Amino acid sequence: MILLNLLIRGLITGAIYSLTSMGIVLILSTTLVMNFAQGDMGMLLAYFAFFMLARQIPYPVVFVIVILIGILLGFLFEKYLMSRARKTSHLGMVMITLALTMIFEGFVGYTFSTMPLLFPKAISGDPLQIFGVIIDKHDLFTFIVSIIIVIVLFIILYKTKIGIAARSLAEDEFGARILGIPINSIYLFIWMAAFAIAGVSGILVAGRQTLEPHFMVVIQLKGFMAAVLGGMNSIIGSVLGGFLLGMIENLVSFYIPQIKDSFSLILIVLVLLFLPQGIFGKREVRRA
Amino acid sequence: MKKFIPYILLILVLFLPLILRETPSIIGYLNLVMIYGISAQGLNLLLGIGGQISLGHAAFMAIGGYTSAIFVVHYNFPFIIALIISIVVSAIFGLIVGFPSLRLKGFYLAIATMALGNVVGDVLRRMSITGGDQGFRNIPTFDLFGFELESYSSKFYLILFFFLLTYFISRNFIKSKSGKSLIAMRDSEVGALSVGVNISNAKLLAFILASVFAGLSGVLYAHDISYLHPSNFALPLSINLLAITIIGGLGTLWGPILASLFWIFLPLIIGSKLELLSSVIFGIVVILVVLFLPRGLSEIIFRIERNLKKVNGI
Amino acid sequence: MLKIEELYVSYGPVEAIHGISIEVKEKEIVSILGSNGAGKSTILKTISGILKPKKGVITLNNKVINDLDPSQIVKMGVTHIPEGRHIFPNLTIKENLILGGYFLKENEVKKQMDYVTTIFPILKERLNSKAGSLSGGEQQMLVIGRGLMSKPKLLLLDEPSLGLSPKLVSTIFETLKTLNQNESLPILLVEQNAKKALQISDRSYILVNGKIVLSGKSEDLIEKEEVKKLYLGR
Repeated sequence: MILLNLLIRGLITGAIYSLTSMGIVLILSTTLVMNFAQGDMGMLLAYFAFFMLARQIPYPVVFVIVILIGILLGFLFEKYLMSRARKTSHLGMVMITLALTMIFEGFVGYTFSTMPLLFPKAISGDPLQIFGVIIDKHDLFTFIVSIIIVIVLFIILYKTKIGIAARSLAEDEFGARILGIPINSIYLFIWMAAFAIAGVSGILVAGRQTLEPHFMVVIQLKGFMAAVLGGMNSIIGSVLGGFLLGMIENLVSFYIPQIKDSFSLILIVLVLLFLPQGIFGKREVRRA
Repeated sequence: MKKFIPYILLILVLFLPLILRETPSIIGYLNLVMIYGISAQGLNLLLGIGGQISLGHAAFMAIGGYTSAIFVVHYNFPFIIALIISIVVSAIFGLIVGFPSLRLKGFYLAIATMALGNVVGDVLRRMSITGGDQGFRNIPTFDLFGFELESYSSKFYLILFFFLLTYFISRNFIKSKSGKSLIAMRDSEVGALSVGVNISNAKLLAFILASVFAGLSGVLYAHDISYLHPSNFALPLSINLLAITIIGGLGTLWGPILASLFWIFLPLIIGSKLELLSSVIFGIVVILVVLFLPRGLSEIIFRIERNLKKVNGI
Repeated sequence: MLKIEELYVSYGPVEAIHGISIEVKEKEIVSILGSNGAGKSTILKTISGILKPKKGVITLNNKVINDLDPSQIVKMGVTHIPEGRHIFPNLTIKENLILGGYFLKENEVKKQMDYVTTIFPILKERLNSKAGSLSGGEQQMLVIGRGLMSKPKLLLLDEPSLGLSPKLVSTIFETLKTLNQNESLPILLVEQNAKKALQISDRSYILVNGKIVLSGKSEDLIEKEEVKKLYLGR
């Protein structure tokens, strides 16, 4: 029974990791940019959400608005920053995402103070008990929403032309360009999608802990690790990697609490040394 | 004329404590500028020359600083011995983290170092010998064979010595065979961060130098400030150090110190009320540098050099 | 329909193409022959907008296309089938084909896919398997098929024979000839395999170090002593 509880809780934290790592891998596999701002974009959007909720705007409305703001920010980011940085250097693009975290954390700290804030849960009230497994209602909501987002993204990536084009870009940029695929629009779409996902995970995570400028930093690190587990170039891998990481983490911190802190590093080093393709990674050689 | 400029500058710097003796706190800030400058110089070798991103550079500072503090405070080691031990420990950590990353492409090092930073922070918080979450208090100042450096100006000369030392090491590294092969590899790669070209030793050397510089910088910080706390060496500092190297101009020798100067004095200039905004400004400067000034603040030095050549009638 | 006049192209400071003029008329197969590094692929990349010309004019049906980007050029009916296959190995064959017809409407995609799969039946059988699972020859068919998805009015083909067995090369070239005759599809072909290219093309240009040294009707060129010596290996 304890094991089942642990696994279920692992799935829920895993769902959050999956969302973040999916956003990261979506960007990485198509643009080759490691997006260090994925977590803090969620943080910024969660702050926006907090102040909308404080003005009595209903939760579902806020949820939608946050997604829309994420899409808008993704658009502006690609259109006015990344597309220009792409012409300078690859490292420059990565640095811009890091600069974004400095700007967001400074901005939020300055405007809303660095005091932790209590972020409302999507559904409050006593936890549910299903077959002896205790689940917080917000956690259940988190899990369901994450699954829905994963499914929606997969439908887009596998069933729409723009999604298939995005995947082709991840495989062979020249091949895509020569077919006349409008690469700049694809980049726009990818960043819009990634930042929308960031907003959702920001709200979901904020409801489980308190809101403060650094609250997404650890989640982002876990997102990276899930991406490593998933092989860094496969979106399916990143989602599975997230769930796996969530479950392993819950089991480890219960059964071997001594290594709880260094567990993340140990896991990363082990995977990097013995499974550099990740557990779910593709073997195909990608463009250098 | 141009030949003498560095010496004139050096003499000027040597007299700084005298010139600024009315405002010793500025000397205190300059000490910090050099301390972070040393750390950033290490990152500059790794990133600017080696082309590898580390997001755990501050953790190496913590490793150096805490090691020295522990040996001096708990085991009564003389400062110099503790310094040497700290440097060896930093080098070993650099080797441990750097070695696996040789085989790996792209961003694995960034993630591994980020995870390392997280773990180091957690471990330091939990141990009692480090003062845990209370921080490590009352670390004695530099003790050079019985002479305790108390004033900002006396510390200034010691830190300046180490700063110049790291400067010359970096210069030699860049001009060495290892440095040149790394630069060649960095420049030939369009896009991707690293490929499996067989220059592992050069890469490893860059990584160890980076860790040692960070460790040294941490030791200097510990005995200068006399207090350490894990949160001072968390991810934000690592990101700031990356920003410093970018703003200074990647792969340039003067970049780290110039940008470190900017980083330390920016919050002082804009005032305590807006201090949090300095991180916003710093981030914006990073973006501007990436987009418009690929050689960063070092561009200024290049311009001055060029003008001097003109003055000299070339 | 395609006219290139006095074209110069550089990679950074290095000039690769030094003032060439090439024309492809309606219904023609034109080939550009030359050894590795002569600049053949560069010409195609410049026509399709991947590279920008330094000097010179490229016109398609009397419209200047120098400054257009690849998507606009594809929309005008020019399809470039690159050398080295460049299929998307982890995408299914169907998905590869869909991307070839990126600018078509939903129902047209379906129609065009039926058309392409009748030309290359092997693709029809394996629509839902990953493109990476195809053999070399099949991948070449996929690349050509994918190029045909966009309903091209002009086909630019880069080294379709590269790395294929002689038998497969013959199949591919026959298919091209049939396409050209049945659909009146003009083709600009770049080849190292001079013999095959001369056999199927109407006219040819011979490129050496970024300059055209010889041009004319393919049936005349094939008889020329210097061509025989240098390119036909006898």
